[in-house]
Amino acid sequence: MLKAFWRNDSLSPDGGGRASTASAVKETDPLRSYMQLERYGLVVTKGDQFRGHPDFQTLFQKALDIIDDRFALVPEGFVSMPTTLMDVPGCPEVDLETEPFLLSRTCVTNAQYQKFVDAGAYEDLELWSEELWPHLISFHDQTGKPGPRFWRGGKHDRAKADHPVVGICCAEAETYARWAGFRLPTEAEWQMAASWRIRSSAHVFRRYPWGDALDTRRCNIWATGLGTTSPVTSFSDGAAPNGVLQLIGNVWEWTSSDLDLTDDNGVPLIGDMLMKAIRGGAFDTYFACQATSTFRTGLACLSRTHNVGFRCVLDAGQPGA
Amino acid sequence: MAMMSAFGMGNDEPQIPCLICESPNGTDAAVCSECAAPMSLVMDTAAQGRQHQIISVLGESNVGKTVYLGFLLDMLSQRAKGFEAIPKGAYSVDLQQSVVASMTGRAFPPKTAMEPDRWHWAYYQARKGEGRKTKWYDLVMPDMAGESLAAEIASPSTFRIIRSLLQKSSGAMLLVDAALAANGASRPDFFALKMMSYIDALIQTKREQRVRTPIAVVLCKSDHCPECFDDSRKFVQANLNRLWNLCESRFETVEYFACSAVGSLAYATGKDEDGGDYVRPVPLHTSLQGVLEPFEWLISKI
Repeated sequence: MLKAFWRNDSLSPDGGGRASTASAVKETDPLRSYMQLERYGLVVTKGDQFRGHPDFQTLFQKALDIIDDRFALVPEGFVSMPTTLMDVPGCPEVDLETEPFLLSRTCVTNAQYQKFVDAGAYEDLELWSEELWPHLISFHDQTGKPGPRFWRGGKHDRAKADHPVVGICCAEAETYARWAGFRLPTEAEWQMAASWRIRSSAHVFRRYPWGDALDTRRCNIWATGLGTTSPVTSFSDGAAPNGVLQLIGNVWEWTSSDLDLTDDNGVPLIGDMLMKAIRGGAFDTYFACQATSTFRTGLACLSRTHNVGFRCVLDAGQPGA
Repeated sequence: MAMMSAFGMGNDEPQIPCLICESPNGTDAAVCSECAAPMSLVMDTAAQGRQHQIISVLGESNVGKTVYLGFLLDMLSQRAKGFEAIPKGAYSVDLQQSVVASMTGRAFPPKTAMEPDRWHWAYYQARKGEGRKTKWYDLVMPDMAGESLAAEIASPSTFRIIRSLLQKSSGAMLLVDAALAANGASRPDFFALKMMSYIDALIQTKREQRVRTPIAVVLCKSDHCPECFDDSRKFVQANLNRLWNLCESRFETVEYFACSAVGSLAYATGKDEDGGDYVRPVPLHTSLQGVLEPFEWLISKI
C-alpha cells in the first residue's frame, strides 16, 4: 500500500498506459485467465477460492504488484460539493467525508477494454443487471458488433490503444469495473482525489490536482489545442501528489453517483433519463472553469459520447490492498 | 430644403451609403434610416475601404444561431485551428461576450430581439494561417432573430434588411435542429425548405442555372443524434429529405456539417411569476464539436 502512495514515476512497462493489442491464446485455467484478462481486482479480492491452485502464491503476488503499480492511495479526507448550479463562493454546499481508497492512476484504455469485449462480456447476461438487458442490444460499435460506440468490427483503433476508452455508457463502465474486480469512484471520492483535501490543520485544497492555477500544459482541454484524446500516461506534469494522472482533462470520467444538483431555487434538476455525475472535463471542454476539481455536471446514464471514459477504484480495506 | 437642413439632411451634409441596403445616411445617424443596420458598422466597413463579405447565419427560432455564432467568433478570436481573427469595433465583441457569459453561468443567452436595431453584429477580419500571401477576409456577420426570418419568409419585404442581407451575402450557414429532425418532427425540414426556397427566389437565377452562393447546412444539437457526426449527408437525406432534394436540384455549392455546443442538458422546473409551470433547459457544461468546420468550408468557397 505504501508503494502505491506518493508514486510519481512512470508506469511500469506492463502498466495501464501500455496496452498490448496482441491477441492471446485463451486460457482455460480460471486463475490464469483472470490474470490474462487483467482482472487483477478479482484475483486479490476473491483469491481465497484459488488457494489450492499450484501457482496461487506467485500469481496472487503478481496481481498485487500490478495493482500496486497501477493504483495509488487516496487518503481519507473530506470534500465540499456545491449543491446548486452556481458554483460561487458562499453557495450552498454539502460536506462529505471519504475513506481511504486505491484509485487507478490512469483511465481504462482501449486495449484494456478490448480484453473485456474479447472475453464475450457483452454476451454474458450474468455480468449485467437485469434492467440493462433490453439496452445491451444498443451497446454496439460502428459496425454493429458489441463494444464501444466508436470502435469498428469489435476492435479499437490500434493507434489509440493507449487512449482512454470512450463511447461507453455508465453501465458499461460499471460492468467493466465489476468484471475486473473493481468499482467506479463515487463523485465525492473523485473530488477528494483531485482536490487532495486531506485532513490537516492547514486545510489544503487544490483547484487542480497540481495546484491552484490553470496550466494548459498540464492537462488536455480545449485550450490545450490537441482537439482529441491523448494517451492516458501523457501530461505527467498534471499528476496529483500520489501520481494519479489526468484527473483534469482528456476525458470526463463516469462516477457511480447520481447527479443531484438543484437550480438556484433549490429545485432538483431533471434530465431526459437518470443522470450520473461525470467529473474532470475533457479535451473539448471549452471553459477552463468547467475542468476543475470541484465543477459538478452530469450526463444521461446511457449516453455513449466521444469524450467520457472512466477509471477504477479498489477499496483500501480489501484483502491485499 | 430648410426643413431637411434642420434635420441635418441638407445636400452639404456628408452622406454614407448603408452597406446592406445602400440607402444614404447622415454620419451622425445611429442606424440606417431604411433598413436599421447599425451605422457604426457601416462606417467601420467604409473606413477600412476593403471589400467586405457578408455571411448570413440562418435558421428558425431556438435552433441555436446566437450560441453558434457567439462560439464561432470566440473560437476565431482565440486563434482556433490556425485562424487569426480581429474584431473591428467593440460592438463586434458583444455577441461572443454575451454567449460566453451566459454559457459559463449555465444558461442560454437571451433570445435575439426581432427588431434589427437590437441585433448583434460582428465585423471581423479573419484569415487562416500566416504569411504575406494569406488572404484576409472582411466578414460581416449579423445575428438575426429566427422570428424575423420566419416573418420575412412568410411575407417578403416585412424585414427589408433580411432581403438585402441575403442578396448581398457571399455565403450562408443554414442551421437546422437535428435533434428535432431525428425525432421525426417535420418542422425543421419545412423551415429549411422555405428558407432555401426564399434564397432561390431571391437570387433569381434561371431555371436551368443553379444558385452559386455557397450554403453550409449545419445540423445543430447533434449531440442528441450522434449519427449526424458519423455521416451528415446521410442524416440529411434520411431525416431532412425535402431540404436535401431542393439543395440537390437548385444549389450548386452545399455541404452538410454536424455541430454541437452543449455537452449535457438538464431541465429546471418551477412556477413562473404568473403561477404557470415552466421548464427551462440548463446547459450543464459546454463541449464544442463541429463549430469551425462549416465556417472553414464556407470561406474556402467565397
